[in-house]
Amino acid sequence: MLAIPIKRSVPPPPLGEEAAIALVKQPVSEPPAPESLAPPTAIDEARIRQAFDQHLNCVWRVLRRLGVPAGGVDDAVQRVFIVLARRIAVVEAGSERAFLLGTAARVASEIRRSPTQRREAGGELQLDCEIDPQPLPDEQIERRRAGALLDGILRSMPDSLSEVFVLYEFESLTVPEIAELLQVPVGTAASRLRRAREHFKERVAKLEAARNRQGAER
Amino acid sequence: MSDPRRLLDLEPQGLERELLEFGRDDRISERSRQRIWAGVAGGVGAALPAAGTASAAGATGGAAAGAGGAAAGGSAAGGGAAVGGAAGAAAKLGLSAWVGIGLLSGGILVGGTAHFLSETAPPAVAMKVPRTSQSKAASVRLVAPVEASPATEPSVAENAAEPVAPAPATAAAAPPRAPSAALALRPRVAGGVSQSKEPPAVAAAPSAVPTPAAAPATAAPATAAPAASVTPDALEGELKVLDRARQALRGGDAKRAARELEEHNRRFSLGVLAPEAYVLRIELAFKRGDRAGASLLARDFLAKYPTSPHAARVRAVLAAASQ
Repeated sequence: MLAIPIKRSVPPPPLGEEAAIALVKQPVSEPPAPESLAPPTAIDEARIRQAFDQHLNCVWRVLRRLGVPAGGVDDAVQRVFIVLARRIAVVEAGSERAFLLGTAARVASEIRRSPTQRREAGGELQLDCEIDPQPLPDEQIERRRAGALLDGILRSMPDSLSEVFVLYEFESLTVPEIAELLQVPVGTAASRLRRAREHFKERVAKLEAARNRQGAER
Repeated sequence: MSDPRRLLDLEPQGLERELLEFGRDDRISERSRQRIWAGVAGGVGAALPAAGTASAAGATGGAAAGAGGAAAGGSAAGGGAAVGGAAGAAAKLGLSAWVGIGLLSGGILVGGTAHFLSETAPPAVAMKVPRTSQSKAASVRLVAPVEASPATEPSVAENAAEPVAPAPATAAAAPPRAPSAALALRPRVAGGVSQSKEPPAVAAAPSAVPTPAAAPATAAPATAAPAASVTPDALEGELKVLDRARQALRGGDAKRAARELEEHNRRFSLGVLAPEAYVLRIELAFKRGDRAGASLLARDFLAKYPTSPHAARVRAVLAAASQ
C-alpha cells in the first residue's frame, strides 16, 4: 500500500485525525487542538461553504472509487471537509480542490489500510469475476452493476494505479496536477496512468467477453 | 509531454463506456449532502473558540439517531465545544439560519438539536452528570461501520435506507475550552464508544418512546446535559412537518404554514425542534402583518431560549416588528 503524501505547502492534519479514520473499534484519542489556527473568518467560512458546494461530488466520488465502502463514505467525506475547514487559512485560494482531492486520496488510503477494510478488500479482489456481467432489466440494478463492476476493476489494480486513473479519467485532473498531488514525478504519474488504462481496458474486455459468452449460451 | 486524451473522449463503446460514464457521473445523494454539511459545520465548531452560547460551563452532548438513515446522527460532547461548537459553529457557518436555507432535514440536527437539548435539560437528569468528569471526555468518533457494505457495493445503494442502530451519545462535564466536539455521522456502534465515563445520555432507538420527551424550557444549568429521548421516527416526522411549514412560509403560503405549525403543535408539542417551530411561528405572525403578536412571541422566545442559535434571527424580527 502506498501512503500518499499531500502537497508540501499544506501541513498535514494532526495525527489524531488520521487515527480517528483508521481506527474503527477502539476509542479514539482526542486529536490535538489546532491551536495554531485562528478561528475561521467570515471569508474563510464562505470559502469552506463554496468548496463544499463545488467539490462535494468529486470528493465523494474519489473516496468511493478508491475503496471507501458505501457505509463509510459519508463519514470520510465529512472528515475531508473538516480537514479543509481547519486548514483553510493555509490553503491558497483556488487550490481548494487540489487540497480536497489530495486529502481524499490520503483518507481513502488510510481507510483501505485499516484492518477492517483490509479484510473486506481481500474479498473484493475477486468480485469483478464473481459478478454476473449479464445485464439485468431494471435501470437501478443496471447502475448498481456498473458501479460494482467499476469498483471491482479499480480494486483489482494496485492503489497507486487506481488513484491516478480515478483522478485523471473521472475528475479530469491533468497528469502534472496529479503528480503534484501525489508528490511523484510527472513521468511516474504518466506511466501509472498508462498502466492503469491498460489494466482497465483488459478487465473490461474480459468482462465483455464473459457477457457475450453468456449471451450466446442463453 | 501532453496528456493523453481521456478515455471517455475517445468515444468508447459498450461496457467500457458504461463504466466510465458511471465513474464520471456518480453523485452523492442529497440526503448525504445535508448530513455531511451538518457534520462539517459541527466539526468546525471544535476548532472554534467557544461562542457566546457556550456560557454553559458544563458539557453537553446531543445525539440524534438516524431514522432509517434519514436523520443525521450527530453527537457532540465536550463542554463549550459542544454548545458553542456544534451550535455556535452552525451559527457561524449559517446553519442557524436553517429556516432560510433549507437545511432542515438533517442539517439542523447537529446544531439545533444539540443546542436545544442543552438548553432544556431537565435538572433531574443534569444532576446525574458529575460536574467533575474528566475534561478529555470529548471524543471523536468517526464511525466507519464494521458491518459496512463492501466497497464494490454500487453507490446506488447509498441512497437506500441504511440500518439503524441505537445512537450512543456521550455526555460529559468538561471545561468550556474542551478542544473538540464528537462527530458521528452514523453512530452505529452501540454504547461505550466514547472515552467518557458517563453512560449514554441519549439513547435513541427505533423502538424507544414514541414521542420525544422534552423538558420545560426553564432550566439552563451550567452543567446541562442532554436528556431527551428522541426516536428517529419522531424526529423525522417532526422534521418533515417543519420543513413543510418552512417551505410554505417561504413560498408566501401563510395559511398552509399555519396549518403545518398547528400540526406540529398537535403532534410534537414537546418535540425537540420546538424552538425551531417557535421561530417559524414568529415569522409567520410577522409575515401576516401581526406585528404586535410577532413582538410578543419574539420576546417570549428570547426569554425562553436566550442562547438559541436562532436568537439573532428572532431579535431581527423583533426589531423589524417594533419599527
